[in-house]
Amino acid sequence: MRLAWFLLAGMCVCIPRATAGQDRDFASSVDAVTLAVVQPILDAATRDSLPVQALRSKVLEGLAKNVRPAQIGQVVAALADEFRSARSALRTGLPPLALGDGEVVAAAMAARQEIGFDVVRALLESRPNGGSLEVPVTVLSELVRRGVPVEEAATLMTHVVRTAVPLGLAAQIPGKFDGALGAGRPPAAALVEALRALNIPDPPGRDPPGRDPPGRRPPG
Amino acid sequence: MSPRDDWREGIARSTDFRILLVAAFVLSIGMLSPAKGWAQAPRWEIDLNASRIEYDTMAALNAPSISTLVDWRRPSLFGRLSGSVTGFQNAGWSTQGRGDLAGLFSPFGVLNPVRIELAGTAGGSRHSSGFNSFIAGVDARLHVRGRSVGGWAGASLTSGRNSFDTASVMGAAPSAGLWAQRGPIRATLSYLHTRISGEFYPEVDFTFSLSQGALDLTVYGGLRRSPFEGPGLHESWAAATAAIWVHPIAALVFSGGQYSSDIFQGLPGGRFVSLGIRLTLRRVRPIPIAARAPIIYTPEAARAGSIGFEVDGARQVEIAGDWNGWERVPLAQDATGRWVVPVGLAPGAYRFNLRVDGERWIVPEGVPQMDDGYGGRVGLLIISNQQ
Repeated sequence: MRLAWFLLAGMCVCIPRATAGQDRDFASSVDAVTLAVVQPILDAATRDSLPVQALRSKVLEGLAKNVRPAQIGQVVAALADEFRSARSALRTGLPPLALGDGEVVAAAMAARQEIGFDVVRALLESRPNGGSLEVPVTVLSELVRRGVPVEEAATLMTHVVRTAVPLGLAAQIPGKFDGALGAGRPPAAALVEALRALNIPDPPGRDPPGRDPPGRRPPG
Repeated sequence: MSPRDDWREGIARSTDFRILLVAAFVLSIGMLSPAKGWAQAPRWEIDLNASRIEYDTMAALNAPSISTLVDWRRPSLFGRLSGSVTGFQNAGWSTQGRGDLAGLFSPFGVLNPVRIELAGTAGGSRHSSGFNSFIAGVDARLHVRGRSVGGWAGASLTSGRNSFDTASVMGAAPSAGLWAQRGPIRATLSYLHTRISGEFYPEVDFTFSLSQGALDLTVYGGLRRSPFEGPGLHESWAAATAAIWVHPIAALVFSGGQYSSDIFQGLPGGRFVSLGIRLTLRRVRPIPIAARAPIIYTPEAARAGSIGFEVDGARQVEIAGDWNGWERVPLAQDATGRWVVPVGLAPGAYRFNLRVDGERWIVPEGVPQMDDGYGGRVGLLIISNQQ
């Protein structure tokens, strides 16, 4: 029990220090004009428990690409709003601790592909072990970007998450899909081929073209 | 009077230098202003040329000129503005301008090779004598694009007129073309079957481009048949432009050859040689640099620091991303020519870009990517935490 209190006290001391260190690193990397523009946005994001590190990265990306401070401010404010919407939508009906920064960022990026928050929430609810959804949501977005209908991609990725398909394997789906598509397969067949190549079982209820129905396969 | 004095007198008499000065001032301000304003800055070039031109309709003359070109490329949008002011020895001056806007649509998904292009063009010219001309056109094309070859078929509608004629000239043309690209070389062959007032003007055009090291070379030419018989009615032309980049923002430009007449605006063809200097904020190659990469990296690859990208024809590649606060890190090439990322990355998803030859920020082909909000694209590097 004393050890637990000691660890808790240590965390209370160390976490603010780590945050303060990150703040200092960030402040030293950003010019005064840009900092003046983005600091209020970052402060508000911190208050709202948004993924502040992702917002800081967006600021640094803008500086690296020689973007004007005002435009950086606009982009970061818009991104913070996207995070705010994603966090608010995903928190509905979920315990607060179930949501990490990675999930919020991934959900916001998925929303840009017109993948609804309800789809991402269904993915969150289907994970058996509380693991990170950053990769599954990214794969889902990539499949939609490649022309796979949202419902079909969502069914597949929900199945992947629910059956605990290794994420390293799941993340290869878009690449295998590209290969099949490049070989001339239509999207639906390309997705089937990608799953076969990775030895991922089909989600229930799917009847992929070109595959024999159960009972007609030769025995053995 | 020496030829030099003759030229000066001609310019002084017929050229309003205020126009040249205003044009130069505007272009110079334009050159300076976008440096901080564009994430994916447009191509912006200014050429200062000394040319000798021999039009089909008059004797050879000297012609200094200043011209500019701006183009802006997005994955589904392309825009270009170009213009020039030319002074002619004893023959006044002229201005020319042109704008192009094209949209590319992917009706069957972005990975499907079929694209639909809708494009519009408008332009015109004005000579100090009062002559002016105007052209406008629309173009629709269906493209089938592969990695290194492609083709299109489509149709265009063009209208032009000049101040000598009361009626405008309108033409419609089905068109088709093929292109192929290998490394720094690209070749295009196209065919137009233009119909004007019930008569056909079939035309074949070719373009060959090479971008290697300091050299950007473009060779182009064509052949157009006329429905009428007579000297000069059947036309053929060919010309070349070589830009040798002596500095990241400056090139010497040599060009020469023949160009065709413009049957819509009633402008004559001619022959020319030209020597000039091209200034830009950064060099943009006429052939985009292609890059390829897998979509997912294993933890082993990340740990071993063996993540690499193929980038065709690049002399220098840098990487910047979330993991180090977007600091640019130069990459080294391995024995197979891949540009290797010298950092081991912990599992996670990182936003990143490559910067090629100090020019544009790119995302390697095949990598998940998204709009960066700054007018360009940003890639996603996924290091999986599971096998």
